[in-house]
Amino acid sequence: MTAATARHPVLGTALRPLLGDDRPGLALAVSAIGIAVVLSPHWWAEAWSLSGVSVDYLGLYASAWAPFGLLALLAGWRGLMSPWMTAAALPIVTAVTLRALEATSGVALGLADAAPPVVLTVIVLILWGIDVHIRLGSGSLPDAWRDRRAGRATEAPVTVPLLLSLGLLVALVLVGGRLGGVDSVAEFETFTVIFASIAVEALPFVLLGALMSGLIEVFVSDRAFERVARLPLRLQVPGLALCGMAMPVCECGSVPVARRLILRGVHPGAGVAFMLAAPILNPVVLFSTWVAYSGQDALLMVGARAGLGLALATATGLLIARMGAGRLLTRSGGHAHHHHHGEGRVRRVMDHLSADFFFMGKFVIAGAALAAAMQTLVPADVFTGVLTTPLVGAALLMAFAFLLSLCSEADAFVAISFVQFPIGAQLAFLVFGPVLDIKLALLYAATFGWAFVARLAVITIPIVLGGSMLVQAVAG
Amino acid sequence: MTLDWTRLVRGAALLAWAGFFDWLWLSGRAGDYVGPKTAWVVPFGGIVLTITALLYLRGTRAHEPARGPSARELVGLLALLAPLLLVAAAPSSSLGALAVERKRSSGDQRAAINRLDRTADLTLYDIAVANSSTEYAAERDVRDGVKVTIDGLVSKESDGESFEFSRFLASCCAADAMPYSIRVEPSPDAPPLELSEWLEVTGTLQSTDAGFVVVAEEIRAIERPSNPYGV
Repeated sequence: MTAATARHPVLGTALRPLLGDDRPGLALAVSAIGIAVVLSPHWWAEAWSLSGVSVDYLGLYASAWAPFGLLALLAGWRGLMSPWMTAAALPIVTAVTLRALEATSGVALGLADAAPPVVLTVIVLILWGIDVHIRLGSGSLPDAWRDRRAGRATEAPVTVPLLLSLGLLVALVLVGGRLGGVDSVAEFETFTVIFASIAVEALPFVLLGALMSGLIEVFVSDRAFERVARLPLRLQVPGLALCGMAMPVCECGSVPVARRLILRGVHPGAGVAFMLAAPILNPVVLFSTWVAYSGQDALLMVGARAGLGLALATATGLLIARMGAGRLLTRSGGHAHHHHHGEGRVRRVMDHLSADFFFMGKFVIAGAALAAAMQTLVPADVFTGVLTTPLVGAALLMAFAFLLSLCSEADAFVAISFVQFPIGAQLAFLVFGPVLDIKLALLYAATFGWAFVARLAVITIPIVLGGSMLVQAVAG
Repeated sequence: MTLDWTRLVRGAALLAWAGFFDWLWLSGRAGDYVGPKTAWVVPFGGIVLTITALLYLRGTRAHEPARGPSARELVGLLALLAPLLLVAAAPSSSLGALAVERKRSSGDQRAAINRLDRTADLTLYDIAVANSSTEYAAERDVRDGVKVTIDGLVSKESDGESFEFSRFLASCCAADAMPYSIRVEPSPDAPPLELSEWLEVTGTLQSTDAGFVVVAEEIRAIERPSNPYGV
C-alpha cells in the first residue's frame, strides 16, 4: 500500500491499482505551459497587445487556464494520469485554447465564452477515463501495443471509466454540437452530410451482402461447394467472376459474400475474382453506365467496362492464387458467433448476418469518414483541372476514384463529366473505383489483411492502366 | 435465464440505424443525403434493418451466462454509430457554398441532366448547361428575355454586380453531387444575401459575354427544399 492509499482508504481501495507517486515536476510544467498559453495573446494578438496583462482580466485568465489546471492535478497528484496520456492531452488543450483565445482577440476583452474551457475540461476527463481503463488492463498504451503485436493481447472487458468516457464523449458531441451551433460551421456541415450520405447509401447493401452471406452459410450444402472447389482453377476463377452478374449490389455487398464463399471451400482466388467482378458486371451498374453515356459511345463504354472488369477480376484472381492465396482468411475478423446447437435456421442466419454486418460496417464507416474528409478539404479541380497525357490522365482519375469512394451504380454520371479527359481515362475511373477505394481498402484490410491490399493495388493498377490505354488506342 | 449483453448492445446499435433510416423516410429528410433516383434505399434500409434488429433482439435471452461485450467491441459499435451522432449534433446540415467550391470541376455537366425528367419550365440546371452548350440552349429554348423562376443557394456573394447561384445534382448521394452554377443580378431593393442561403429568384434571362445571367425581379428566401439534389 502506498502512502497515498494509506491516507485515502476509500479512494485508495477503488483506485489502488492506479495510484502512484506524486509528480510535482510534471504538474508544475503543465501549469506553467497553461499560464504561458493563456497570456500569450498579449504578444501575438493585435487587439490584446494594446492592453497589457492586468488583474482586471483575472476571470478570463482563470477560466481559460482551468483545463490546464485539471490536467496538472491529474498528472501530478498521486499519478492519477499517466505521463504519456498527459503528453497526448497537452497539445489538444493548448491548440483549442489558442484557437478560442484567437476568436476573442477581435473583440473587446471580457470574460471568455465559457464554452471552450468547459469543452476542454470534458475532453480532459474523457482522456483520463480512457487512461484509467488502459491502466486497469495492460498498464499503459505502449504495453497494450506491444502485447497486441506479440499476439498476447486478450479482449479487455468494459470498465466503468471507459463507459463514463464514452458517455461523456457522446454527450459532448450531442450537447456541444447543438449548443455550439456546429451546423453553421461550413466544414463540419459538408463533412457530416457527405459522411452520412455515403453511410446511408452503403449500409443497406452491406446488410444485403451480409444477408446473402448468411443464407449461403445456412442453406447451401457443403456438397455444392465441394463440387465448385473440385473445378480446376482456370475454370473456377472466371466462372465465379461471371457469377458476379447475378449480384445486383455495389462493392460493399460483395465482400461479405466473397468471404463466405472462401470460408465454405471455394478457392480464395475465385472468391476474390467474384468480389471484384460483381460491382462492375452487375446489371444495375451496366445499365446506369449505358444511361450516362447514351448518345456518346454508350455501347463502347458499357462493353469496355464489362470486358475490362471481367479481365481484371479473372487476372487478379489467378495471380492472387499463384501468389499463395491459401491463407487469405487467416484473419477471422473477430467474428464471435452466438449460436447454439439445435437453434433454428433463422437465428443462425441472423447471427451470421449480424457478425458480417458489424464487422464490415465499421470499416465502411471509417472509409466513408476518410472520403468525406477528402471531399471537404481537397478541391475536385486538383484532379480534374489538369490537362495531361492520356496515361497520366488515367492515373489521375484512378486516384480521384480511390479518394471519392463512390458507389459503382452512380459513378458513370461523374465519369462522363470529365470531358477534358479522354475515353480511356474515364474508363480507368469506372473500372478502378469499384475495385479499390478508401472504404474498400479498409474493408479488405480487415477481412484479408493489409498484405492483400498491397498485392491488389500492385496487380490492378497496371491492368487498369494498360486496359484503358488499349481501349483508348482502339477507340480514340 | 439471463441476458446476452453482447447481443443486446449489438441489437441496440442495429435498432439505432433502423430508427435513423425510418426517421429519414417518414420525415422526408432522405433528400438531404441521397439523390432522387436512389431514394428507395432509405425505405428499403429502414424496413430491412428494423426487421433484422427485431429478429436479432429476440435472441437476447440466453440459457447460460454469456460474456459481455469487450471494450474493443463497444468502441467499434460506437464508431458504427458515428454518423448518427454527427447528424444528431447538427440536424440541419446540408451541402452549401463550401461544397460548391470544393466539388466544382471544369467538366461537362450535360450528361447528368439528360436523365432528368423534362419540365416545361427552365431550371437552374438548364441555364447552367446552356452556358456551355449552344446546342442545349437551342434545344431547351434558353434565350434572351425568357422569364424564369428558379431556386438554389447563394454560393458566392455579390461582386457588386451579380452573385453566384447554385444547385447540386446527385445521382446516388451527396458524395457524388455536382454543383451547377449561374450568375444572378439582384434587384436594387434585394435584401442582403448570406452564403448558403436558399432563395427563389424570379427574373429574366439576359445573354452576356460570360453566358446567361438572370436579371432578378424578385428574390425571396425559402426553406431548403426536400430534394436539394435534384428536381
